[in-house]
Amino acid sequence: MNTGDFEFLRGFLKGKSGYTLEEGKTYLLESRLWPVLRRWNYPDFSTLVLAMRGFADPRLLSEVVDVMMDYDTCFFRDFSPFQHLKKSVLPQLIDNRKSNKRLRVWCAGVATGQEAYSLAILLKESGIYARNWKVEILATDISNSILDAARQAIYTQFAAQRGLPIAYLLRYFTQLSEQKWQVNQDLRKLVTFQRSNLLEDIDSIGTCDLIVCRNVMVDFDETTHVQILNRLGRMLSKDGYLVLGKDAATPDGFVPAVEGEGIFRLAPA
Amino acid sequence: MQEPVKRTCLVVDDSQVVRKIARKIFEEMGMSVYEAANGDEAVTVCRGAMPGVIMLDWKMPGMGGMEFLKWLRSVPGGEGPKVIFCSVETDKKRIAQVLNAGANEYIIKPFDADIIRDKLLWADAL
Repeated sequence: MNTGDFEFLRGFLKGKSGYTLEEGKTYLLESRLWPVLRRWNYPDFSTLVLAMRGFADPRLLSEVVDVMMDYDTCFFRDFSPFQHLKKSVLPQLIDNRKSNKRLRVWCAGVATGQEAYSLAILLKESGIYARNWKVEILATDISNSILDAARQAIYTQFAAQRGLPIAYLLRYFTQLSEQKWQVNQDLRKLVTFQRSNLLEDIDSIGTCDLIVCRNVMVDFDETTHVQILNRLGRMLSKDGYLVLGKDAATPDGFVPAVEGEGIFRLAPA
Repeated sequence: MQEPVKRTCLVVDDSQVVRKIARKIFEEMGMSVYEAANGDEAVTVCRGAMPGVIMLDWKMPGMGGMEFLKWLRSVPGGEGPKVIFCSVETDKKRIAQVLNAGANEYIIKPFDADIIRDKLLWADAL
C-alpha cells in the first residue's frame, strides 16, 4: 500500500468513526482490508481507494469501517489477565465460597458482550455449574442498543476468532451464515445484561465477588475516577477481586493481587 | 532430540497472496519466516530444521495440509512445532479432525494480524 492510499484510508476512518490509526500501521490496515479486497474483486489497494474516492457503493464504505471498528473489544482481551483469572483468581474465589456455593460477578462497561462471555466461559470451564453452584454474571453498559447486540451475541467471523481459541469456538458457538457466529443459548443464559450508568445507579447492584471494569475508566476525569473506584471498593466482598485495565495504577484502598495485570484486592483494614 | 528453532515460522499455503500477508504479520512479531507452497515443500524445509511455528493451509496441489500434519507428527522432533491450521473450512467435525491429528490451533480464513497473534498466544507459541 502506498503512502497516499494509507493517508486517504486513515483520514476516511477518522472522519467516519473518530478512530485514529497510528502512523506506520500499514500492515494492520492491509491485513484487515485484504478480505474486503477479495470480496469486491479489486486487484490491489490502489483500486480499492480509487473506488472509495469516486461515487462509492455505501456498502463498500460501511464494510471498510466495520472491519476496522471492532478493534477495541475482543474475547479474552489482553490474554494474560484472563489467564490469571483462570489459573489463580477464580480457583481462589471458588475455594473461598465452597461452603455456600455462591458467586456474584459484575462486568461493567461490557459493550458488545465479549468480556462477559469470556468470563462465562471460564466459570463454565471451572466446573462449578455442574456442581450446582448459584452463579450470577451481571453485565452492564450505558447504551441500550449495544446491550441488545450483546444479548444477541452474534459476531462476525473476525470478531468470533479474535481472542478466542478454536476449542471454545467449537464448544460455545454456532455458525449462522458464512460470516456470522452466535454464542450458544446455554452460555448466553448465564449472563444477565442490564442498563446501568457507573455515575448513577450502581449501588443497587449489591455486593460482588469479582468486579471487572476494564474498558470504561479511561473515559472519566480524575475526580470521577476516584469516586467510582471508592464505590466499587464498597461493593466488593472482603476477599473479592477488582479487575481494571492492564496498565491501571493501584487504586487507594487496594493492593495488587497479580502484579502488573490490573488485578487488585482490598487492602487489609 | 532436535528442538524446533525458536522464533521461526513456516508458512505453508499455495496462495502467494496469503503467504505474503502472513509473512508480513509474522515478521512484525519479530519472527523469521520461511515459505512453502505445499506439503511436499514443507517436508523439505522441516527435514532441514524444525520451525517453531507452522501455519498450514488445508487444500493444496500436491501434499495437502492434513497429510503433511500426519507426516510431521510421526517423525522424530515433529511433535515440537506449534501447528496453526488455517483454512476456509468451517465445519466443526472437520475442524475437530485436524485438532485430533495434532494441530495446536485453527484459524478460519480470512485472518488478520490480531487473530494470528491471539491464536499463537493460546497455542503457547509466543
